[in-house]
Amino acid sequence: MTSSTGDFTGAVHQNPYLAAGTREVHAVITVDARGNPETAAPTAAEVIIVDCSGSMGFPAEKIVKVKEAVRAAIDELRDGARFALIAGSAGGRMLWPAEPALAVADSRTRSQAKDALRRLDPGGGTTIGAWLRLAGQLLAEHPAAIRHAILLTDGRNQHESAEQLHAAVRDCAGLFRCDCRGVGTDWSMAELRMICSALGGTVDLVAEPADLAEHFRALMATSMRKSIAEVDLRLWTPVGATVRFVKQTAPTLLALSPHRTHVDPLTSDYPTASWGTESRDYHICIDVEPGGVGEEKLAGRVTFVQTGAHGSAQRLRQVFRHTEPDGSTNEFPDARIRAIWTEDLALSTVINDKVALVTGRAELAKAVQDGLAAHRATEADLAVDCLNRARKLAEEYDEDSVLARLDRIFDPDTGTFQLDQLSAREEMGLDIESTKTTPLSRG
Amino acid sequence: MPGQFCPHCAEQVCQRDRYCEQCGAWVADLRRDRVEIDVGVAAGVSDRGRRHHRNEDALALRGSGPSRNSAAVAIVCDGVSSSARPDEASETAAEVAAESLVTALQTHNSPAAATRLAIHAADKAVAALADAGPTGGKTPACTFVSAIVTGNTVTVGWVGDSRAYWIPVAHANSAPTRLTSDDSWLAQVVEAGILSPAQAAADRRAHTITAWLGEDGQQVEPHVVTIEPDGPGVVVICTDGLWNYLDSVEELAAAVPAQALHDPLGAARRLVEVALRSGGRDNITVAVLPFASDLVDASIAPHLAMTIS
Repeated sequence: MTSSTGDFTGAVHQNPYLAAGTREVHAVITVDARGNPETAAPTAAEVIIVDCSGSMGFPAEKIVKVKEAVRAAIDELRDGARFALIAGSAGGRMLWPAEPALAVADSRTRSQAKDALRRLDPGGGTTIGAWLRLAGQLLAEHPAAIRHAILLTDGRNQHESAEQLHAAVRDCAGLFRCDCRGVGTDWSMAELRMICSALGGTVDLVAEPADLAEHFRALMATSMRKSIAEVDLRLWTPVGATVRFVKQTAPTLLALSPHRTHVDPLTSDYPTASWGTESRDYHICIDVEPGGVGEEKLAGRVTFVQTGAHGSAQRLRQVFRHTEPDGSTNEFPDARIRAIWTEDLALSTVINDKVALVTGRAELAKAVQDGLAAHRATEADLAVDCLNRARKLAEEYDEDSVLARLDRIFDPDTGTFQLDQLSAREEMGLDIESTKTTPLSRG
Repeated sequence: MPGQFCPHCAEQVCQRDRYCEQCGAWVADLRRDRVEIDVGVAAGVSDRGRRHHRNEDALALRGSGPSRNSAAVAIVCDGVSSSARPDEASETAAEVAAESLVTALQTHNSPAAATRLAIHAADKAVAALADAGPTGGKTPACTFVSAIVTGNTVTVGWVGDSRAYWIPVAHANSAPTRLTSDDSWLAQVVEAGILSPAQAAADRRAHTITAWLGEDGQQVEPHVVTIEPDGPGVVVICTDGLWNYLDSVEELAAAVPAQALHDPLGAARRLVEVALRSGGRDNITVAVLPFASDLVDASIAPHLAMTIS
C-alpha cells in the first residue's frame, strides 16, 4: 500500500463552548479529497447488475433502452479495469463472461460483452438479494481493487423474502459500493435505500427509460475516477462518551452510525467507501461527561484511514483547519472536536452556522419523508403539516430544487397541498431530492 | 522531556496536543504555561495567557561575569503561530542566543557585536529546525528581542515585533522611551506615510510581521541600539501579548511599579497580570532588567550595586 494515493484537506466547524453541566457536542467536518492519478491507482472492479425479470419487457422499449444504457457504461470502462455483467431474474446468472469471474476490459472484451447483451431476454422474478450475492462472490476475488456495482431494477424484491435480502446486504457490506437506479415507479424506495445505505452508494429514480444511458454513463465515469479505495472515518472519543450519530450530510444525506465497527474501546471506524477528487461533509454529535467550568476536553478526534486487504489500517495524508473562538486558525493532522465548559451564556448559546445549516437540511429531509409517509398512510392532515414545515425549511435553507417540487403541488390560495395531484413519479422524485445536498462553502 | 500524566485519571497525556488519551481532559504544560526566572540582576515571566492552547513564547535570562565586566542578559522570543512548531522555534532561539551572548561578552565583544552574533546564531538554529521534524511545508519562525545591561550601557537587538523600552525611575530627567521599532506591516505603512496609525491599526494586516528568525536561505538583518542612560531605570522587553494592551510608551511606563529597580520579578509579574486582566488574548512574556549607572548611589539600588560594581 502507498500512502500517496490521496490527500485529504478538511476543516472543523463547531462552537466548542458548552453551558456548565451539559454534555452534547456538535461539529461539522468538511473534507476535500484529492485523488492522485499519478501514482499507480488501484484497479477498478465493476459489476453491472441488470434486472431482466418479466416486467422489464413492458413496454418493449424499456429493455431496448436498458441495453443501450449498459453499452454506454461499458464504453466508460478504462482498459485494464475488471468487469462482469449479471442478469437478474429468479436468481442471478452470469450474462458475461460465461464463467463466474471478472474479465479484463479491452476493446475485444468490451465488444464481446455488448454482444452478450443481445441475448438478454426478460422473463422470471425479482430476487435482488441473490443478484447481490453473485456480485459479492465475483468482487471478493479482487480485494485490492476499488470495487463497485451498479444495480438497475424496475420492481420490488418479490420472489425472495425481506430477510433473504437483508442477509445478502449484510454479507456484502464492506465488499463493494453499490449505486442503485430504479427505472419507472414500481420499485421500492425503501429497499434500494436500505441497500445503498449499507453498501455506500446513491439511489436515484430514472423515470424515463430514455434517460438511462446518460445515468449509466455518468455513474461509470464517476466510478472510474475513484482512486482512493476503502476509506474509513475513524473516530476516537474519551471514556464515558457516547456517539449520538455520525452522518454524511453532503453530497447526499447518509447515516453512518449503523455501520460502525469497533477498533478498540474508545475508537470506531465508519465506512465511507472509495473516494475520487471530491468533497463530502460530515455532522458528528457526541455526548461527553461534563467537565468543570473553565475546563476543556477533547470530545472527539477524527482521522481518515485506509483499511488494507489484511485488515491493517493506514493513515491517509490529511490536514484539518481549526478556527479558534478569537478567529485565529490552526492546522492539525487530525480533526479535533473540543468541549469547553463555561458559565458565560454569550459563549455557550451560539450555534455554529455550518452546524445550523446541516441540522436544518436534515430536518427538511425528515419533514419531506414524514409528509410522504403520512400521505401513503392516507393521513392527509399530518401530511400537509409536515410538507408545510418542509416548505418553510426549504425556503430558509435555500434548498431550491426541493422547494420547486413542493411548489408544484402547493396551493398558495388555501395554503395547503393538493396531494391528490402527487403522482408516483413526483412522490419518488421529491423523496430523492430531499436527500441530495450541496457541500457547504469552504470559507 | 518526560511524559505528563492526567490529574483526573492518571493516564498518559498526548505530548502533541496535550489531551489525555483516556478521558480527553486538556492538561496544561507545566513546563511552559507559566515560567518565572529570576537571576538577581534581571527577572522575567512568560505566561500562556487566557485564550491560547500553549505558550509559544520563550524567555531566557543570564547574569554573567564576575565584578567589573558583569552584565545582565535577557531574551524574549514569540513563535510565529502560522509557522511550523512555533513553540520549538522560540525556545531554541532564546536558548541559543543566550549562550551565544554570554560567550561573546566573555570573549570581549562589545554588547552590540555580541547581539549581532547572537541573532545570527539563533536564526541559524531556528532554520535548522526545519530539517529536524515535520513542518507541513512551513518553516519554523519566531521574533526576537534581547537586552544587555552593563554598568554604563543598555544594548537591545530585535527582529520582528517584540519590543524593548527604557523606563527611567520617576525622579530621573529622561523620559520613558521605546527603543525598538516593529518589523511589521503597520509600522511600514505608517512610516511611509501611506496610512495614519489609526487607519493602519484597523487593517487586518496590522499585525503581520515583515521580518523574523528562521527564514531559510535569507540573511536576517538584526536591528541593534545602544544607549547610555544618565540615571537609574529599568529595561523592559516583551512580546506583543503585553504591548497589545499597553501600546503607547506612556501607558507601559505607568504600569511599571515604582519598586521595579529593586524587584524586577515583581515588576514582570505585575506587567503580565495587567495583560491577563485585559483579556490575555495572546501569550505574554516580559523581562525586566534594572540599570543603575556607576554614578548611582548604592543606597538607591543596594542589590544592584553589589552585583554590578
